[in-house]
Amino acid sequence: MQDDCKSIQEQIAELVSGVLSAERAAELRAHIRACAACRAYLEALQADDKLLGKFAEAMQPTVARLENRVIEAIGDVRSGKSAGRASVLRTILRSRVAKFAAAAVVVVALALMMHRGSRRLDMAAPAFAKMVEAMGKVAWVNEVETKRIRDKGRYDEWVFYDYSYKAKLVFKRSDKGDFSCQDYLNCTETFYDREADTVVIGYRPEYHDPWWRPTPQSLVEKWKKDFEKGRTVVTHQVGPYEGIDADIYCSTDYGTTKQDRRYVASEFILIVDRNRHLPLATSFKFWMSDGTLDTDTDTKYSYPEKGPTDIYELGCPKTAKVFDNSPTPELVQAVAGYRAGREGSPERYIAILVTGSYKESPESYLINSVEVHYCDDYLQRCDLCFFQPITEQQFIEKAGNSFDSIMKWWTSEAKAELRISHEKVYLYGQEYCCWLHRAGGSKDWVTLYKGYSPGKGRIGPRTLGRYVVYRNILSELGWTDWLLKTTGSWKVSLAENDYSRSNNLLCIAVSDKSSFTGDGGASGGSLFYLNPQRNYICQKYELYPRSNRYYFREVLEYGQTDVGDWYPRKILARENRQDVSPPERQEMITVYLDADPQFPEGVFDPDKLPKASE
Amino acid sequence: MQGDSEKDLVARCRAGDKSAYADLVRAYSACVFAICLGMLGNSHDAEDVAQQTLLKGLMGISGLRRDDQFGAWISRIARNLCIDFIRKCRLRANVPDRQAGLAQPDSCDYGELQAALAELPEDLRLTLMLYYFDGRSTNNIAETLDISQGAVQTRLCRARKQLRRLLEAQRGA
Repeated sequence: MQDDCKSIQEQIAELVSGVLSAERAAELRAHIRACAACRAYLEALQADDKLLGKFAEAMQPTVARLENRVIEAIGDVRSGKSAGRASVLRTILRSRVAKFAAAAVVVVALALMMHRGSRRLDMAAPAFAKMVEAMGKVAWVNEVETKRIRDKGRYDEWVFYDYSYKAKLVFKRSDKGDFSCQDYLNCTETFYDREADTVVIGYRPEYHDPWWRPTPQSLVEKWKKDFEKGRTVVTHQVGPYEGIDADIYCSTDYGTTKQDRRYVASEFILIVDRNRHLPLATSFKFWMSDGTLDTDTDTKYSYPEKGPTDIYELGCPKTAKVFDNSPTPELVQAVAGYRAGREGSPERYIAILVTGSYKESPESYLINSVEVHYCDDYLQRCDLCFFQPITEQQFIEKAGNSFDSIMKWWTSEAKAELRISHEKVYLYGQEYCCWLHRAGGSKDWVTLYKGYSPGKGRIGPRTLGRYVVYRNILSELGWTDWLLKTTGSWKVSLAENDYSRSNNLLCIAVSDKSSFTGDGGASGGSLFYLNPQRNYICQKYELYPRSNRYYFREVLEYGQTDVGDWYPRKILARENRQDVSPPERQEMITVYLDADPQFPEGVFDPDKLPKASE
Repeated sequence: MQGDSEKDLVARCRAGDKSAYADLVRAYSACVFAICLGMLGNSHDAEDVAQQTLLKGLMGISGLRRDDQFGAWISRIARNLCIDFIRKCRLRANVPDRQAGLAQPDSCDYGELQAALAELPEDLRLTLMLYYFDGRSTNNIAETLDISQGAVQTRLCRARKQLRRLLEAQRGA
């Protein structure tokens, strides 16, 4: 296929969608009439269009069934036929606490009337520190949560938790028959799958991060936020709760928003043992604008001396089949090294990524994109430009072969010398992100996405097609985060094969349940080859999905910064079907790095981005 | 359904007329189902979440501020419920992000198409589903997704191209 056809086929979808100008459409049609390959592509797109239409038609009975089910249910929902189980706190609040709570609401209402606005009483704050301290000392915390949701016909969901903050263990069971145990010390999770009647012991390497672990602070922080809301009014009462002398804090918030819904009011009650400073119960309620109670969650806490030792004690049948994928100490050590390498990758740099591809031999390598990544911890920007492919020799003649020469060319002649097909700019800050796009030859930028999240922390990396702007591109290229995400029911183990032996690498195999054979001949899953001599960079990564397509990425060359950090300098990526040789697509990325950068002025300033039409 | 009739139906719903909500269900079930199918990639899950969406709409209709915005509002509920559903699946299955929430495609005559659709990025799949399930109007999709008509057309073009590549890859395999 000629290059012209490639570019024309890119536009045929636009022709099918009817968005091309009449003039351009006529030009394309003329080409299609004369070109068998493009005609076939157009016909294939038209066939897809028909197939999708038929698929939608085939789904009509499902839509009709859905309609009937909903219309039948309308009467039931209105009359509230399904009754829930008895609430834990409903019983509790029948006691004197309810009276206190009710009195508290009256106090709040009076306060609001008197002050013509909300008034914050910060009296709850001192109790939190004592509560955290007291909860840190107990052996076990037992938590029973009951939720009633009006939308769902007022059914109850019960979840039981047993925490041991000291032993870093969490047991969870629900009334639906699921059981799990998270062991944060050994980074494992045991999960009982009721449908499959199997117990899977999985490796959760992310549990190494302290923020994953539940702590008394994390629990109390959630409550603290409710007390600190701008419009919240907090009242404090003292009274007995199940015979225990208790502090009762009530926080009432008017005009609450939760997800897409506004509530007229919400109420949070926290009951704390006055002497032991331990929480005894909480209650969350949300009211809708018609005055009805929408969501009602009660939680009750107790502090037993002993907790469960395994999920069988929670009721998991002993006959269930067990898949034990617990990690070996060697595997734990390898993953820890990998994690440390990832965390130690440079965080302040400018990286130029020159990317191209070849089909059969490296001699046919053509470069077609340059990305400039500016990274200053959480501030990141990527300027991405795609152009008509040129050979590596042509690229070096124009731009040179060093960071400085490429950067100089990039900021001066590059745009005039290349036939640009399109450009993109991604900008990420702590509380915003913005993506811009410009087609080749066009003067106008278009905003693809703009997000602001003031006060809520950084907006995370997002994908756009296959391009992802990562928090740290060097980290992603050197230490793919797949290994840290392959968790739970996946089997993670150390393996060995010719490649790992000859290159002195640690090989980690990840597969679903027991499909991995252990000798590098993976039938499904991934292989990660870590290089302990190079800060555990993942030198090679092979992914075998369920179908017979596979993907691999290999670091062919390493670079080192002035302070001795290793980074991937040349990376080869292949995507292929196993039965096709040579590979369908091989992509080569060369990284040029400045690890002690002077960032151009305003490079992270959203106001200095190219002006775009919205 | 646009304009007065929708407004009228919403007003009647508020007054307790159940048949008015049934009419809204008839008008929006395909759109809601398309959103759920687009986000979840599996018709069984999509049907369940769509049902939940339409019932949630009934319960919350008194809170709807603008009577002529029922479509955008119910679409938002559907998308939020799908996100919740995906999160729950992710928690339950413990699989990496990319695969979470995308259940196995249905086994039927359109298995190959559904497998390819499941591989599409969510924004493209959602746009494509809305286009084919809900009257092929880019204007309606733009309103539902709260994006410009131009953005809808761009997504449709990208979706078609990517879908073609995926189907070719599957047939080749």
